Amino acid sequence: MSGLLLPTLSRKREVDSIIRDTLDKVLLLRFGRAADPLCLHLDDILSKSSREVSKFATIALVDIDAEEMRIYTKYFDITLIPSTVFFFNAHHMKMDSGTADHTKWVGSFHTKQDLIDVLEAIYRGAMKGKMIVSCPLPPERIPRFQLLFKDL
Amino acid sequence: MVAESATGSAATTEKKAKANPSEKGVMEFEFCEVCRRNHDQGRRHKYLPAHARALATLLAGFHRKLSNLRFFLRNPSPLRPEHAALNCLWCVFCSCDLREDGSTFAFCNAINHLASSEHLRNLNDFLRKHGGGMNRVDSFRVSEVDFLKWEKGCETLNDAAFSYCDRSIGPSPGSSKDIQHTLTSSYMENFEENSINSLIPKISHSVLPLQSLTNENYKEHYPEISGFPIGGSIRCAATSSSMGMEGHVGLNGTGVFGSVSRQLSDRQSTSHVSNVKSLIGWFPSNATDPRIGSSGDSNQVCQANVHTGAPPPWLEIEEKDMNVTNKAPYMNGLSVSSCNIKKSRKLNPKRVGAAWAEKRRAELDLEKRGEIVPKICDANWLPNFGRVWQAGTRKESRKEFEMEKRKFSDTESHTQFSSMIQPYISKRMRIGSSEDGGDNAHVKENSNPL
Repeated sequence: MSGLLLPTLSRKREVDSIIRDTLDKVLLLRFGRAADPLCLHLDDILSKSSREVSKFATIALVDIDAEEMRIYTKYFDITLIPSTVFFFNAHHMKMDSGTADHTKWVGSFHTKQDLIDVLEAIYRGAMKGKMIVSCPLPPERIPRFQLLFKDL
Repeated sequence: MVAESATGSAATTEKKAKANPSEKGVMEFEFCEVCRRNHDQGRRHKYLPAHARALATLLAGFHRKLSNLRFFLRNPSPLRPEHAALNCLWCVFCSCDLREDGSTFAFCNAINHLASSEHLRNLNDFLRKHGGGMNRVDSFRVSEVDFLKWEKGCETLNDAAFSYCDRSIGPSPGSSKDIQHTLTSSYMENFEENSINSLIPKISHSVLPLQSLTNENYKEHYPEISGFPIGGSIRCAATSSSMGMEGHVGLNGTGVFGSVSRQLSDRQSTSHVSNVKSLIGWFPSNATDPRIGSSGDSNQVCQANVHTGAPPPWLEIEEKDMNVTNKAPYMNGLSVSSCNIKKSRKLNPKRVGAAWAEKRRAELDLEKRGEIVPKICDANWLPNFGRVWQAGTRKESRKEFEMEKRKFSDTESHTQFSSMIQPYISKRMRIGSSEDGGDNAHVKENSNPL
């Protein structure tokens, strides 16, 4: 269902072009696979709110199983799905949500409003020139994952 | 003139500086015509950014004026005395005003001046003194080839004007039928006859229904004629204009007079290029019924059509509307881009990736307009991404990743290389070969039976 509403990218060139050509808007890239239940939940929230945030954000789904996506999976250190990465004017936006990983949002959102709040916080921060913003959500609404780093 | 005196004074200061090397530190004040201020910076003044900026503005302004002139250089056209004031030009290199009082062709004096050797000398001196690139000399003068072409065009126009004067004394009523056999040079005469033929019955009988028919056809003929770029037609339009005025004095209610007056007001307000267009624009409104009767023939003679690259009628009408509002068609695209600029100006210039956004937006605009081919980005392109343990900028983390990737691929290829190339040689054999003083042939002999 979400695949019908949101663009699903499976080629590196597509991801490159959407990162490069999304100007003055937050770009949300969801890395995951459509069959995963948690991904389905997130996709549902994304597709429902994509129209509401369309003035300041663009949402796209990335198929992590695609052959050409391996390089991005490696580059973005995606070990858990769904993982959500934010960009603004081809610059990576970080979010300090109290978890170990500031580079991406791991897991789903509780409600549609949570997603909108996060996107808004990133947009406002980016417009002020901030590369990292703090998460506007209360800690209990932030999903927790134990991150194990391979080299440590 | 002033420029020469200025260069002269500069030369004297240089001489003085050479004569007194002890006073090298103290420079004399001199006036820079480009910046319009006195300075004591000597010859290094021309490298200062303020000077370079002022020079660029000055040269761009002159270039803009020259582009207007170049139109008339390509299409020589006669100058009406009331337009002489519009044709004046200030030569920034020679510091002289080029007026067109009493000249017969548009920008006649200016073109003569720009092609002269004196202008070239002054231009060279100016560019040497103020910078701006000696390779741009040709863009600020009229080349000899163009000048000769222009002179030739003027001569043909003069000839045509003489023949026109001869014929206009006694037009023969039957001559309009001969249009099929006349060529471009004689077209103007025919037109003149046509217009006179059409005016005579109008003034005497004032046949109004015919006039409305003419106006209907006017729209069909107008764009085709206005697309005709030869100077001859321009001259024809200009000369016929006075006659048309006389002819339509009594036809206020027909709507033709209104169009004439509108065109005249356009003519007064717009520049020379649009001026010529507006003159041509109401040229067919005078060419009434005889013209329509023989329209096929006259069209063949003078009018541009789809094969000669003339714009279609609907575009031409739009262009005319644009001329009325003093806007050239290409300004449309600029206004769109200026809207974008205004929009982006509202945004914070210090936002994340502002420079990237501006650059990319400009590129996309150009791609949309088809001015540049869309660039296919590098297959290995990666965005700046700040990794979890990264320190420093996000670009560094990308470089780090690229290095890791390269290292990984190197080790991979190395392992492949080693596995492919190096066969297993037992230790005993290796020792044996070293004892034999590295005799590989012996090893091979031994290894073959294995």
